[in-house]
Amino acid sequence: MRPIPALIALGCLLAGSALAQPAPVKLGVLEDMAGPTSYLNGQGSVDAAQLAADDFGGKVIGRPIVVMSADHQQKPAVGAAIARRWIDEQGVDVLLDIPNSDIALAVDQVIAEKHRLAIFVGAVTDRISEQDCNPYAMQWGLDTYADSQTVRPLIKSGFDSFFFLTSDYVFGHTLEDAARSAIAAAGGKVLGSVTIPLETTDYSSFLVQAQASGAKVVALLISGGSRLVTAFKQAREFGLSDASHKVTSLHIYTEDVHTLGLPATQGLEAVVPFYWNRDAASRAFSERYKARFGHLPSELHAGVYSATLAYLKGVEKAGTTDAAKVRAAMAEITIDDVYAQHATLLANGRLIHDLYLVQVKTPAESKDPWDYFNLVATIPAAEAFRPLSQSLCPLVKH
Amino acid sequence: MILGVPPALLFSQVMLGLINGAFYALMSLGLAVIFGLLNIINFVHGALFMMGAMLAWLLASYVGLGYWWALFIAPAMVGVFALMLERLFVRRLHGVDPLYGLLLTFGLALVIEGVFRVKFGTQGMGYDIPPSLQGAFRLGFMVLPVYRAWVVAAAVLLCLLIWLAVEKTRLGSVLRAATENAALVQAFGINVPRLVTLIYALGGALAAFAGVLGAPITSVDPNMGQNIVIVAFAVVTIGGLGSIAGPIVMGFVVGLIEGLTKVFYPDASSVAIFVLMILVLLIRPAGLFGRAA
Repeated sequence: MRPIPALIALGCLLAGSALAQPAPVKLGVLEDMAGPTSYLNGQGSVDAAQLAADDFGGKVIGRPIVVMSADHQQKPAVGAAIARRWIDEQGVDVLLDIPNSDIALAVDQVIAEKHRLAIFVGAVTDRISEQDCNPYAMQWGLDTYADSQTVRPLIKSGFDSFFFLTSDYVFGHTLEDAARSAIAAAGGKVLGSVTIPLETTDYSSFLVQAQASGAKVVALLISGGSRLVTAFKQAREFGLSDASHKVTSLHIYTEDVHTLGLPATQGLEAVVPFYWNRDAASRAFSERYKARFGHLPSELHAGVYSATLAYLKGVEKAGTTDAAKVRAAMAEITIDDVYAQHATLLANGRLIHDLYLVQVKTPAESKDPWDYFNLVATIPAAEAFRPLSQSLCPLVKH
Repeated sequence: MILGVPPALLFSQVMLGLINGAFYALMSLGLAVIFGLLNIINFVHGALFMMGAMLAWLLASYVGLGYWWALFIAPAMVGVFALMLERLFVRRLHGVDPLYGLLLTFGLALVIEGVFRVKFGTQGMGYDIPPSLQGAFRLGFMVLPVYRAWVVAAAVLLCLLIWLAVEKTRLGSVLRAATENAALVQAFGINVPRLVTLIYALGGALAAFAGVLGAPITSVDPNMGQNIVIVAFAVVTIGGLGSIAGPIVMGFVVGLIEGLTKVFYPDASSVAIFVLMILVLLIRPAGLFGRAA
């Protein structure tokens, strides 16, 4: 065989195989893989994205779906660098989850600049869909506004004075601001607050200050995970809660109730977007997830599942992975799954959906392992999240 | 009001500072003994602290042995583990620059924590205060949990015993002589390498003991040793490398300073220790109790 026809033949072969293997659609799940919140998101979120991709059939617009993951190590610079590398070198089409508000805001800037989509689930600062909103960012999980709704039932039942222990980073400060306005709106008062460095391992000094303030509610605005667990343990040690005093965190994860135990957490109220034992559909999903990955999904895992499915549906409807077209398509499709009920994707990127006010069960009420919450009320989507009319996002025209 | 703070609040913060100081003292003492006697910057100390707490949890959940058992068994097990570490790894760096030891033990800490993370995840483990130590003393100006009082008592007693052992007994004098001139001590028929292994194991056991003490009041998880080891190093540096009394005294002082920062300027409470360390290093590079090299 002469060399030139051979090369042509080889070229045809390669082109043929390239045609047979279209470029994949790449989903990048950016996580805290080993740090203090990795049991709430971490590998479990990567698994949830994979489960959604498999449920979708493994392919979208004729292209295989690839789920990639990386560890941001709780460092904003690392997270932003991974986002850039994923977009510039690996052609990742959408970034998912991105827990830790500081890192989420760093990644938010990268995607705004690169015109690539991101769906934030684990980051709770509402700046993503408010002051720092952009046409490419979507926020799926709870935000600080929604969390602060927990104060309303507290004030209604007479627990109307508050003291905050606030983690000194974006999460803590935005949650405190949101809680302050929610408290003022509901007729409660704030007696004081103290800012806590992130590295703190002993909260006793701060707890004693809170105790000295005489506030009826001590709110631990500390992100979920081992830090919150420590703070709860120590609050109990110093006898902060009794008949007329409560310790709450405005947000509580099922996993933290598990660690702290029901005797320490019973009666605690919080707003959650997902609870595995809520209804038949959530139980079926959770059992399926557990059968494959060995543990029940956290609310963040369920959120990543929902976000991944919605993204894939958007791509299918748009017929392309072009970020702006997919984003437009995602506003048109119906989003209704095990995580997001009665959901609407607003112009500022915020997905509003029903939330659930839950109360931690007493040890006697809990029938099965991980059976921890009583469903107190369903908060309709429109009330659960900040209405568009109050939005600070420049994309929203008032 | 004292400096704009109600006296009751101030006294309670002083008390809490001293309680935390007890922890720092216990952690730093192990480090100081290992550094002072063996010249090893033992970064694996935080991981051994974590192992102590995790073992307490494992003993409770899989074997059914409670807190008081764990207080003896966990340090013993970690002591044996430290002994193996010394025989297998740390020993090989004897006589080279201590920085190599720091790198090695830092790596070992990462490996140990990694193994625990893979096996148990980062979710905290539930570990409660033993029933006999639950409750609190009402002191008027503050509520003092019984458990914290016990921690201080146990830490002070242990620190005192170790200080006496190193400074006042024959074994202690042999140890100190061995660090001054190992060859000479060996010539007197004393097995110095065995002595070194023993001290390293005891240091490890001490870290594990602190871990068990801490388990009921902090989150028990594979990452729990990372912060405290840094603080303990700062305390040893402030107290003076090579001194035994230094880290004990400075542990309490640092706890106190940290406690007061938490009242007057909470934002700075986690850096106060390091500011103090920098100041001490500038003024007295050998540390407050250290002997100048």
